[in-house]
Amino acid sequence: MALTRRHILALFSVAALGGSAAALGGCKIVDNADLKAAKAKSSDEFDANAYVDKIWTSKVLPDFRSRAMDLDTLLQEVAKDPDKAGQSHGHRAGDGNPWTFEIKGEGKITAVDAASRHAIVTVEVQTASGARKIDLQVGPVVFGTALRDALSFIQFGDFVNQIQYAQVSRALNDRASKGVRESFDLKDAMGKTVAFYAAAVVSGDTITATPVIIEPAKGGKT
Amino acid sequence: MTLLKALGGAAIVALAALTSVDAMAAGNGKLLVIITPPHNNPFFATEADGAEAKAKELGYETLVLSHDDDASKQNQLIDTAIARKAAAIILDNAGADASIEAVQKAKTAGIPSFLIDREINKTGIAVAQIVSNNYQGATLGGQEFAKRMGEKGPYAELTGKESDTNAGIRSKGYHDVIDQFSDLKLVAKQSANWSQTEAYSKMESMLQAHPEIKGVISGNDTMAMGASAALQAAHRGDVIVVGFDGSNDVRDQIKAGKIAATVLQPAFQIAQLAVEQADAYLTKGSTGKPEKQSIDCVLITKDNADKLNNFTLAK
Repeated sequence: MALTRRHILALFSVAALGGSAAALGGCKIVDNADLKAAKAKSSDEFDANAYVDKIWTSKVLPDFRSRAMDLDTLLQEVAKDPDKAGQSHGHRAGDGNPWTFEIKGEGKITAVDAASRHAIVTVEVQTASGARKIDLQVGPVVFGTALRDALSFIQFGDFVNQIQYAQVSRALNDRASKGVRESFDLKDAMGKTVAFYAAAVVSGDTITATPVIIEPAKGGKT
Repeated sequence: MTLLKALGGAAIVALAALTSVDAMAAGNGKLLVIITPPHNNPFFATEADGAEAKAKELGYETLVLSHDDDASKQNQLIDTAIARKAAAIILDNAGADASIEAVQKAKTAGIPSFLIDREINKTGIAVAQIVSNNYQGATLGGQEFAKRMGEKGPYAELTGKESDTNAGIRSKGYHDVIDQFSDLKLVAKQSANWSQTEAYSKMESMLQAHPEIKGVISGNDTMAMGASAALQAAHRGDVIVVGFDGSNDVRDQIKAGKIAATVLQPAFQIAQLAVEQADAYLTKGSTGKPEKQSIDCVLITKDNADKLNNFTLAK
């Protein structure tokens, strides 16, 4: 009888264990180490500005100086085969998204909208298919994720989630705007000829771009 | 003795259950299990439809399930997928942290997961995580909202479920734009957990506390529908409402002038991409894509609402 009772108890505990395992299976079980690791990497503690500061002069600017495509050449390739041009020179974070490019060009500043916080400097670039207007978002408010998306060494998968990935975009835009505004005087920009390096989706009549460098054109008057 | 009998009985029932599971599992290894949040939100119904249609087209059997935004129910559904020896799981998950364990469990059982719409806070356990570019979409919605508000005035915000990264990222995208306009003032912000009915009651109470509200920016379309209904009932059709998703319900409200804009997430396309990548992974051993993929969103206003149907914008 004692044995039977023990058997019953054993059966019970097995049943109870099975039951609790099943019940626990429904809960979120995270062991402490994982939780700590996850928290250390959580969005709150990720410092996107520090990350961007670290890569700005060592990677971002050199990438533009070496990889940016001449706008005129790029436009001709895009006109021929947009996807081929995108695959060879552009970057995108998902299928079906527009290709984002690092571009460079030279042209005359034909408009400056410095009153808005979303300030725009319009540069007219001569291309094989005629003059093209490039709206350079000089900020401080810069819209879009073109800059982040044009940099092939910044991958969505390297970050914990979209929030960090978005913070990086914002920090890059802020850093780009700061650099451009510090080195370039908006007040008497009108009519000058400049060279620019920028990130952009190349479509439509006017191309909106996020500049990382605006400087006096080589040989052009400033 | 009675107790023993009862236990014996339970054991027999359990055995019978196991046997039937085994019998079911003797499939042909071509089962895709599609798990999403509840289908009363047309966004999730469309995802399931898109995934199911593509799966059938590629010769898979399907099992379509909903976890009802409940992580423990999701866990049970993953168990079901494992028991049925699914070839792959297409999952719109029930929480960025809570789902890590469930996806890991499927992986351990040899079943690859392809995540759509929502991410999990860990890489390397799902084969793919394909999400909308929620930040880019939210900045589009934020820009349109600021424009329609005339760049000024008090407004309210309805946010989604906190456990879902998409709730936070959309709010951030909205504010990264709207906060740049110092005359746009946030007077109330509440979560309505993606729910239409909850949004209706939250909107009613926010309107009572802040009758001066001129606009409402919402983290998704079902909440925008709830807010819009509450505003109509209070004869406040003048309030600017902007949603996120691109549902047919909101499209019709935009055409009727009752909602200002929404942001289309290509839900149908994302679901189909996930199934295509699952098929590539199962047949060729690789999707050929990075795990994390982000698909851009499109602003929907009166200008292009006519082209929108079932989360797909006609060219």
